[in-house]
Amino acid sequence: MTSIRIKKRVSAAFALEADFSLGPGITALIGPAGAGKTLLLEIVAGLATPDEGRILLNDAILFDGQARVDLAPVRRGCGYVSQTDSLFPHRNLRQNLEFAARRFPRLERHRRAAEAIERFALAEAAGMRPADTGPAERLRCSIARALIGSPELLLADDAGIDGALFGLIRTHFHGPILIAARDPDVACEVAAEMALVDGGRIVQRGVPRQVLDQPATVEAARLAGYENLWQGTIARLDRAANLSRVEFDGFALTVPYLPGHLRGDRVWVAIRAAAVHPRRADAPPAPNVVPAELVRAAERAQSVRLEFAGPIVAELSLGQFAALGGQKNLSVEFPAESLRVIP
Amino acid sequence: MTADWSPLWLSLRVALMVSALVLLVAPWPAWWLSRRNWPAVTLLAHFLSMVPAVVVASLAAPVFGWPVAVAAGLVRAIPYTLATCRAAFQSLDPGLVKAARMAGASDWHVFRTVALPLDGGAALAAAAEVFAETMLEMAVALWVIGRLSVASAGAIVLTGLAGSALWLWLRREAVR
Repeated sequence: MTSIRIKKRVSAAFALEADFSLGPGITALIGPAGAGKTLLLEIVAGLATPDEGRILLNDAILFDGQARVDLAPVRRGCGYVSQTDSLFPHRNLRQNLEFAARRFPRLERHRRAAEAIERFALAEAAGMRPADTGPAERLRCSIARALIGSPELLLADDAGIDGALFGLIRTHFHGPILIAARDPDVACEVAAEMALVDGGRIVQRGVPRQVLDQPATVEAARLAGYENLWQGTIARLDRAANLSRVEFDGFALTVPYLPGHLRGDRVWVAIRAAAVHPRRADAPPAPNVVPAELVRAAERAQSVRLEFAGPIVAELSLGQFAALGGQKNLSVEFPAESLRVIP
Repeated sequence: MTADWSPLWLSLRVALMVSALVLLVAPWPAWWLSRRNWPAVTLLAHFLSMVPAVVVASLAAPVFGWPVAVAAGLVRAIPYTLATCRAAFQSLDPGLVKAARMAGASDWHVFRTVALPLDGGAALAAAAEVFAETMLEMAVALWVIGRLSVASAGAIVLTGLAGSALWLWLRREAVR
């Protein structure tokens, strides 16, 4: 069993608190900068000490606040890939790898370095210093360095590892991986489990798609990328028709029936910007369509982001935006299947 | 009449000794202090570095013998070198230290294999500055007791200037 239960007070305003188990696959910590992801990884690696708690890796105790067990980083069996590659700039890549394997006898050290160079396609760059190599080689080298000691757990801190590289890692490392990232895309691609982290605590955990599609709290919805979040009042509950009506400041929406709620209850409703459909004001009426005044249109590389009074945010393709004909007074449609109600 | 070069040799001996000793003594405590916040040590080092040059110069007067002159020179040189090296070590990428710790390197090993190769230039620059300053302080001390010949004075000033130039170059290299 691999589990992490720790508490650490960093300042009067920020404390990190986590309690979760790691499965055999990839677990992704997703959260904004300053959420505590790096600190959590450093605590597991032994680079920072928690105030209390217990960390187990395959049933071996790495840290126990009560029993005063606190293993040194090198004895924890963790490989750590930091946010920046952190390769020693005065050593070439081969020497960097050998340094990481310094606890092994000389021949074994050389064997492990040669093996890592071959596995991570570093043969051409092995004799070069990090500054003379490309970012992709430096990243592969820092991963190879983290794995050179045959760790039981790999920790990767927002290092920019993509799906293909995780595939390469998986061919040589089969233990659990704990990654920290700001962007949930990689987590969706590779992780078996996702934990949303904000303000030093885990706000929601689960299968990535489930976490992103069914945020349990307002914080989780924000972290999962829901840009439209409004608090409203339940005005109608109709079990027979399977619908509820939620009123907001200036508009109302129909959502599926909300069991366990009463009329007058306050709830949050969330919808992704890409799921909001702006329409011309003269388009035929439809459910959940409300008039909206366009305040700002920001063009992006592949899309246009529209901000309406409300505030309502929509994101649509360049072609869809052109079809709106440059009108300011539009209406927006909120498809019921894309609306998420958060108690 | 031949020029009296003994003040120059004496100044050189003292300045070289102070520079070498300061290089030997200061970097490790500076590394150790760079990751700790001890206000008392910082205050003491700052106070010692403010001791007026003339006081040290008087103490360094050759009437007390060159070992005392070296000790007096160290009073100012060590805090200065400590502060310079500490600042340099504090700017070292913490990720490198963490990478070394993950590899099982001890504090001393991190200092020897990571901090010194990357930021040792700051210690060399500080030693060059200490050399130049000690040369000039020795000149003042010898002048006060009337043992400074014109030829030696010129040579001491030139050597001090060379030390300063070396400091400037090393500092530029250390920053690069």
